[in-house]
Amino acid sequence: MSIQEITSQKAGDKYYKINHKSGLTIYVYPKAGYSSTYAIFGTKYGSINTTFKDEKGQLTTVPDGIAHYLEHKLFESEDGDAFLKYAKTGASANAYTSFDKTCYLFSCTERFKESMDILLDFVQSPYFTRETVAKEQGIIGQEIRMYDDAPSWRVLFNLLDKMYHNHPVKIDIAGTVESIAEITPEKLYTCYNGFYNLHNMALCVAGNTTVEEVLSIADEKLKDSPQQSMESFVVSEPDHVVSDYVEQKFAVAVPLFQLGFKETPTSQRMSVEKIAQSDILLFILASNSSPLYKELMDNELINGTFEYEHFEGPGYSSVFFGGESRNPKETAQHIRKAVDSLRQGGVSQADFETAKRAMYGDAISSLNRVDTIANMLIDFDFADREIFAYIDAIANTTIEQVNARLLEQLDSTKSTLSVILPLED
Amino acid sequence: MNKIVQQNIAPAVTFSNIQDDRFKTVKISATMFLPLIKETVAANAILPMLLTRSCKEYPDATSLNRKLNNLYGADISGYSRKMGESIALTVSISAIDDRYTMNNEKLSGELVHLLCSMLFNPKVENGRFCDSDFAQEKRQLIDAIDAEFNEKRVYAANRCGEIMFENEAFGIRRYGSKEAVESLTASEAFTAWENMLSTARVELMMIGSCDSTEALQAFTRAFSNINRIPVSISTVTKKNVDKVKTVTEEMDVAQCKLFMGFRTGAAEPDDTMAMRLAVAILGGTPNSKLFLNVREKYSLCYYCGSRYDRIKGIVTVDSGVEKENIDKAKQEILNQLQLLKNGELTDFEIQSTKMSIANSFNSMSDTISGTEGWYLSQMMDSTLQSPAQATEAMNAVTKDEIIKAAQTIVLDTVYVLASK
Repeated sequence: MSIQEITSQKAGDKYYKINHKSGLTIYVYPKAGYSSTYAIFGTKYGSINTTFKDEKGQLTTVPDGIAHYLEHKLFESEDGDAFLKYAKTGASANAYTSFDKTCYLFSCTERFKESMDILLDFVQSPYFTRETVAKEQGIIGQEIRMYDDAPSWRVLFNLLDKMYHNHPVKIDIAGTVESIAEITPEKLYTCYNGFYNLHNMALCVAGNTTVEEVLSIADEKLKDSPQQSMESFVVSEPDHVVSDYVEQKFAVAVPLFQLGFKETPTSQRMSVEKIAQSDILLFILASNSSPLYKELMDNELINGTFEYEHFEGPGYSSVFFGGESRNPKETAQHIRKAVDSLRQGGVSQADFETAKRAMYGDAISSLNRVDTIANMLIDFDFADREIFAYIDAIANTTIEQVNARLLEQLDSTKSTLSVILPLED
Repeated sequence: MNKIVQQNIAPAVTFSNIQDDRFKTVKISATMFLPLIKETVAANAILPMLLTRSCKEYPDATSLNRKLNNLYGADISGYSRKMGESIALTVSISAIDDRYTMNNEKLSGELVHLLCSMLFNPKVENGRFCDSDFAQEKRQLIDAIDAEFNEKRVYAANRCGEIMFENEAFGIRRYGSKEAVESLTASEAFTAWENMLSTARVELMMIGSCDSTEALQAFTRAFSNINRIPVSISTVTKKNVDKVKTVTEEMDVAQCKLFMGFRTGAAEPDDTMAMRLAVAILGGTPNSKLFLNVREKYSLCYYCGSRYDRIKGIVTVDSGVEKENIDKAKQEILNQLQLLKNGELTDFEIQSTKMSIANSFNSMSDTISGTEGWYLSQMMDSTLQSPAQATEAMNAVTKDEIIKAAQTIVLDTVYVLASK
């Protein structure tokens, strides 16, 4: 077991990374003076891990939405429901499944050890029966239905479907009512045994705690995991998009859009330097002080819901611009044109300096909250990144790097516009 | 939570400072409370948007935003919300604390100056807000009203509110009607701004480690130039229901939304702690009666929860269900409420709910927004409670008091947004 102290002069904080003997990577980020503690225990397993080699080395494909279904069912152990156990500690508990991870979490101000015991126990104790699996169909069915009615969710998945040919990022995280009907206890165990191995997981704790406290609980509760690296089947994904436009009619009063730019995927996750360059670049291009933003506002094409993000994970990287717009096609035209002209002229020194300061402020601000910190720790760990190195990377980014990043990241010929339009009466 | 230091700096204008060096950021906010009135709500609602768009010193959105972005991405926000039968208009600014700037720049003085510029020195042309700025914000306010239709849960909540509070001020939407916004003029908005500065009840709040002297002086100076005639803010509560209203509307949706509104016997400034517990036991946690039965036992839904508005003294319950399960879900919700009224609740339910609420109270001080929200939500109350004091008061509530509180909950309105 090794304990590494990671410090940042700039942020005035420090945290600890522990390679625990069980195989688990543990992070502890003590926050002096805080009343609450937030713990998150997650696995590098999400909706995109649909095809993988099982325990026998056989390539197997599981139903869409199974990682999310597993998340729901893991709360039930042979000796009862985890929520019922948390009720005795007062902790506020939850879980979520995203494209590339599944995480279980709680926050508390009292009885931290008891809540940690519950978290580490139930995540390590799968218990799936025909009866308990069947009971969840109705609940998750309604969760899927809820998303079916959410235009902001539909506009995103319609976009992914038309940007990606083969990558499973295009599959809805919760699957469909039909795909979850195929889920059985056996399939859940196959996924659990494949991905819920401590070598494939991380535990991050931030707030009112110490390394000693977390480790004494970990030593007691963690079951040694056999060394095992999960191999997810890597699909080949063409550079180009499937099509450049998709629309859906929906019960909405204001149309919505997402414009996505696809980047050629790399086998490794991006470095903190590349992430910092992207963040600065996108700020220069589309922040509220950019010429593009002014142009879109002056032409009454966007409103305050306009936002952009760098959407990046295993085997995919894209940039999205989206929000409400009374004229999505014209909006997309302006954004593509702004990208093309920035590629020609490069970014200006003044814009670069402003963006750098703003992104630096953002990164420092994110260290205010224990939930944000713990979530960042797990995101960064799963992507082989480190938080303070990211802050340094922002401060050290050069304008040349941002211009180079622009050329590889934003190409209008590899972009797709997804639109949600009102129903016609 | 660190100590709150409050000073009255003008009639009905309070400056509160919470010194806290744990945070990486500092936040200064101004919240103005005005009565919720149909004729003025649209003009009031547009003010936070207009004031954070530009000011005399930075006369367009781009120059103002550039200034903020150079202050390490300082963030301004302007929004309005309903609190009981008042409208709360908030304009705030936040940025990283002076200790964390790259070159030891001091930002706090600039933040105070910028917030004051936005509040007291807007961009005025010909005695009214600049026409093009006004048109931009008006367009966006209309978009925001239309967008409430996009999210069906929000839409159902709004519809239920309109039906339930048809003849009460509480039924007024926070932005007003679309028609009211469409007919609003820049002159009316300007008059509303002048009225806000002279009549609103104002809560100024500064949270962080920076010295508050400069902010206190700047606000004191600004308000000393204004002739203050504060209005009184109050909320009318109704405890009885003559006849339950049931409305079903159809729409092209995948999932039906069930939204139920109830009246209760408790609202601020009464003691509301027993009611808060009753409503949380009913549907406020993953161990509540609604979650364990409507969701877990009968698998009818993904979400089913209850909320208590302690200013208006009402309870709402909502869920998303299949069309054929609407009645079943409604019956089970009413059944669980009845069980609570009949006193069918265990000590475990009471104890675990108390612990859950205590956890949320005691976590508040760990975020700036939690700290701000904790005190702002009590601004209508006669005394301020710290999270520890509130926890103590809650723990003293007895089972009988919870049951008695639950017994005053009566169904008023059932709204169903049904799929076609």
